[in-house]
Amino acid sequence: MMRLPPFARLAPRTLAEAVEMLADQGPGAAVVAGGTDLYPNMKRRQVEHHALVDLRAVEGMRGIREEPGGGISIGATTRLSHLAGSSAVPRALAHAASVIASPQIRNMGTVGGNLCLDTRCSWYNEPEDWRTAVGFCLKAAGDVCRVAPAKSHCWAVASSDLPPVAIALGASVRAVGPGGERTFPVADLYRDDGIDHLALLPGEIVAELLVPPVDGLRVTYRKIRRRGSIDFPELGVAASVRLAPEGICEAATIVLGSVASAPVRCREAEDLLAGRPLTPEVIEEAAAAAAHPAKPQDNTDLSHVYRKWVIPIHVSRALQSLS
Amino acid sequence: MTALDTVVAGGRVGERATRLDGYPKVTGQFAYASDLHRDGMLFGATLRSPVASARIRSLDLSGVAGSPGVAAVLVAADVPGKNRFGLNFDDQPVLADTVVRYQGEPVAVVAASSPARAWDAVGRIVLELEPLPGVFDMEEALADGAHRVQEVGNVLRHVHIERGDTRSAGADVWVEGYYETAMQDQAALGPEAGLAVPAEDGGVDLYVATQWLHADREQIAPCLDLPDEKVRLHLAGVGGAFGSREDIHMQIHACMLALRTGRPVKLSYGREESFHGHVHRHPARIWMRHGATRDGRLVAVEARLLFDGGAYASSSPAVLGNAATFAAGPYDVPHVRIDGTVVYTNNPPCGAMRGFGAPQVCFGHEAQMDKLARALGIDPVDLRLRNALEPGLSLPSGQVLTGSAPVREVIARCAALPMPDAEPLEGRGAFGYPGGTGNVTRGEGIKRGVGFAVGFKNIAYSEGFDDAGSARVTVRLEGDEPVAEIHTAAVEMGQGLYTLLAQIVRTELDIDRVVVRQADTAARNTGSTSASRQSMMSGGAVQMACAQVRAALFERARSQAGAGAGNHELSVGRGWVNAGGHPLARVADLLDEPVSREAVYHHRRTGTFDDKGQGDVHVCFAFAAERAVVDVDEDLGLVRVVQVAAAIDAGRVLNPLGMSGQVEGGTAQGLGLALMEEVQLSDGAIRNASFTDYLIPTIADMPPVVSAAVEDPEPGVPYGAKGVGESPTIVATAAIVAALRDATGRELNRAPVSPDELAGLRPPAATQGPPPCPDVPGQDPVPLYFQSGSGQQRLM
Ligand SMILES: Cc1cc2nc3c(=O)[nH]c(=O)nc-3n(C[C@H](O)[C@H](O)[C@H](O)COP(=O)(O)OP(=O)(O)OC[C@H]3O[C@@H](n4cnc5c(N)ncnc54)[C@H](O)[C@@H]3O)c2cc1C
Ligand code: SF4
Repeated sequence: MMRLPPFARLAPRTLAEAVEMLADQGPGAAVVAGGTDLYPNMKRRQVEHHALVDLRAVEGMRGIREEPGGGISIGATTRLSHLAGSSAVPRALAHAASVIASPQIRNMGTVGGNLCLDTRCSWYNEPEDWRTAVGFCLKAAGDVCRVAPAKSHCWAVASSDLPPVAIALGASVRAVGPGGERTFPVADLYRDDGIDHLALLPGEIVAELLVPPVDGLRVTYRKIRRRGSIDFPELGVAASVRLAPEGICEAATIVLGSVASAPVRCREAEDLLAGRPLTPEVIEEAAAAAAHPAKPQDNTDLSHVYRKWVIPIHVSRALQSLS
Repeated sequence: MTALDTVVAGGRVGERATRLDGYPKVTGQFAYASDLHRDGMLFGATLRSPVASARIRSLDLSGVAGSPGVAAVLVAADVPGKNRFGLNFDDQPVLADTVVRYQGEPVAVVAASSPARAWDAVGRIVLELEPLPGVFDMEEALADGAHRVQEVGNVLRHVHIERGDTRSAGADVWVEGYYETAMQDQAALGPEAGLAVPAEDGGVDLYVATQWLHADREQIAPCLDLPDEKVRLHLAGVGGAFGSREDIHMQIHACMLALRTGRPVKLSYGREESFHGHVHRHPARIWMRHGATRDGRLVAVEARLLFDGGAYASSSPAVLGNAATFAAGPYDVPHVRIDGTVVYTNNPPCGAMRGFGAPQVCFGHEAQMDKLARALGIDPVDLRLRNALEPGLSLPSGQVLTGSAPVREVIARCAALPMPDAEPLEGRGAFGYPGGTGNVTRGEGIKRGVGFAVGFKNIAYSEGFDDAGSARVTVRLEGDEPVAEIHTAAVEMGQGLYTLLAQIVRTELDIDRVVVRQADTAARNTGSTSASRQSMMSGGAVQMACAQVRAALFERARSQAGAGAGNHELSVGRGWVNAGGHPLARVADLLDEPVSREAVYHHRRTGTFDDKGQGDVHVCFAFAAERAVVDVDEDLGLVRVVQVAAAIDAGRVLNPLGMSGQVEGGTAQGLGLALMEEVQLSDGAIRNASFTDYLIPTIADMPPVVSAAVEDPEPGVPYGAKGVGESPTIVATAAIVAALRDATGRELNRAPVSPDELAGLRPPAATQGPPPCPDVPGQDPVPLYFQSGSGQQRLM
């Protein structure tokens, strides 16, 4: 039976304390929030931590607030079920939260944990005996990628549902670390590297997600998965458009989830939309272009052929719903 | 429910009786085998082979010696008795001795003071393996020069059934098809677990979640070198089984550790280990040719079946016997040629799972019937009605249907069940579309399809096996109230058997308070909870025991009343023995001494196959038909099953609530195989040994099931009732995939169907044509021609 290895659990009451504890523990320590991703990974010995700084008791880190200057702040330890049920946030964001995992996991899982979710790969997210049997890989203790052995790069998949829609909403992240705090666009949180997939500085903790006022922006999030519940996305599409009164698209953002180690922006498709009306022809053209930057590998439940194939269809439907 | 006997309240035969274990399970009160506890117990852990085929070069235990808390490390040489067990015959080592034949095969077991210490010790054992070639493909297993998985070769059993001559059948139209079904996991929610407690007499008491206590003991005792009576099994709380608990998993290991250490030892698998710890449903490859006359009369069926049995026999020979006898479907076919082979490979062993060989062939024969209907321009339901079996007709194996066989009725009733309400393409709620709340379509790409399937299966064991049921019923006084107690070795695993046995007692004796004693081997062997047989077999025994109890009460009443009883016929009711409808004696007054009777119920004798596969091999049959309605998003290859309609042949419904539970649960498991369930292997290693990667349907994937029971009592069987545990599973997969074909026009010859295939990105499963039939000495399992050891057979 898989059991957690022993580790020290620290429970700071303030963010400053958390940052300090994390720094004190040195490398090999990490933060934990809901633990819905980290604990299973530790049980499977995919990651090892001698100490975990549990953020759940940190004051002021949980909850959804309207910002004085407009916009909304969502604390990092806000539970997914809370976000899913919130009418204060943009509907597409609440919807994205509502299709994560299952009700029980949404009751534990947090926004910060979702934003910082480890990348996934069908070779890596396996029990230890399987990995012992077939050999380890770059991401954990091995020296070769089992999916694409030719390159020494890890293609593990960014599989969380919130980042694409957060990016499409123009949201930012506020992170606090030993060197102080900084706020940056959500997209800058990620690096397209399955192993080192977060661009956080050492010891940094995500404190909140800042969503600007929607202000007429039309946003949607759509997720392909095999079952009606629980599964990670095989493809996530977030799209937002701002339409001028005559129906001309002033600006568009299209973000794909689960096709690479970071959310993927579809710039070419976005450019094709800018300044044009969202007619079926324009949408088809943009949707076809949306697939260009995505290079899914064979490392999730469904084949990479399928995951590439469905991108234009999925994007086209998303854009149609916004037109 | 596990340690305590169970008091059952309410419900007679035919009434909607609430499951007695329902409330405890839903509220978390029910103790499963994994909850077993004894003070001072040790925890076991198992070292399993990381590879599928290798010679054991060395096993170095020195790293474990002296580890804190480790009480024992046992290897093959420590098996006290014979190091082989098995359900149909003993070909499987308790702990691998010279070679390992599948990934996950147990090599050593450890007992320690905590699970962590036990696993730590397992990690310190150094197992050196020398790789051997392996065979991971069932057709390759048949090839000349293939690596021999077992000494006897790779053919585990070949069954040949021949009737008439398919070449001179006079068919006007032929259709041909190739089909594959994947390896399916039973996915019982409770992983394997048990607790072995050493006894003062040198024996052992084993508390375990299993399907058949006596068959377990049958296999355990010789390995421990103990007489049967020193190996006492007690049923622990079972968290589902579906066939996965028919085989031995941790039983012998726990007993060995307990006997060696003199302490109670608990072994409890986690989910990952569970995937390696039990057998699965056989993956199958099926080639079929159906010939019919222009007016839709099925005249010929040729079928070649190939089943992957994995590394050890388990119940593969019996599964294959079933598959072969049902391969032509519940149809009247004069000319038949069926060849079925089950092979050994280095894949995980396969054995029993709900349906036992029938779902695979149903997937094939029903696809063939649809093809035939299309080729003939006949309505598919109509074609099935025209060819349906009926009493007096016979199976390809020559067995004449003497009992109830309402095939036409199940087809007609199912077809007549209401279709789902028409829904507009737009504006449905989130669950109204494929992809559900993922919000992938609002009507784009949607095609609706309807599929139909009929299937059947035997009830109870076949091919000459006398799997009798037995039970003891005791009536005694508690205070002033008569209480009936049932004692059997029958396993309740969530299917509602105990509720049903209590209903029978209440009906037969009119006693409200019924207690079901914990099942154990102190009761007489009553056969397995499998093959849809317990309602009939243990139910029959309980009914017979009740009749004997009643007779004893009548005798006491007569002798108490003297001449007062007259010649009236006696009956029991409302706490009285009545004569000619008038009260004669209070039951309570007759119970100074308890009345206790044990009865054994045998089903009718069956025979074996002759060299043409002819024989009266099955006891009786349960039929079922299902119709599935699906919506497919053709572009994305996603599916919503809109509705399943089921008509189930039940003989007679004993508990309508229990029946709908079986129909819905059985359908869910068939839906799983149709759409998502597959144990994926690579070189024999399970790639998805977790519920993150092995997908089973959730409630969000289940459609409403509308069902009808067809009641045509089986003669000579208690209440005429047939088991309904398996038949819904058999037809659900075939019906749902048929609906997907109808919606997409694609071939879809493999279950589960993947989104790739539905979206047209993956071609149908391909074949080079059926492999030649192997040379075998006869119809029996091949190893039996080489060795004599036998498993369950000793229980007859
Ligand atoms: C069966 C199952 C299904 C799932 N399905 C989905 C799904 O469909 N979609 C999906 O998106 N996710 C899914 N998940 C993953 C996970 O449950 C969610 O993403 C959840 O939001 C993670 O949040 P958490 O608080 O539990 O994270 P944790 O497990 O506590 O942490 C996850 C990671 O984030 C880091 N972390 C957490 N908080 C912070 C912070 N404030 N700052 C910096 N780092 C932080 C941790 O160190 C850890 O590396 C699923 C998980 C399971 C077990
Ligand atoms: S993509 Fe390659 S390196 Fe990364 S987790 Fe998968 S197998 Fe390992």
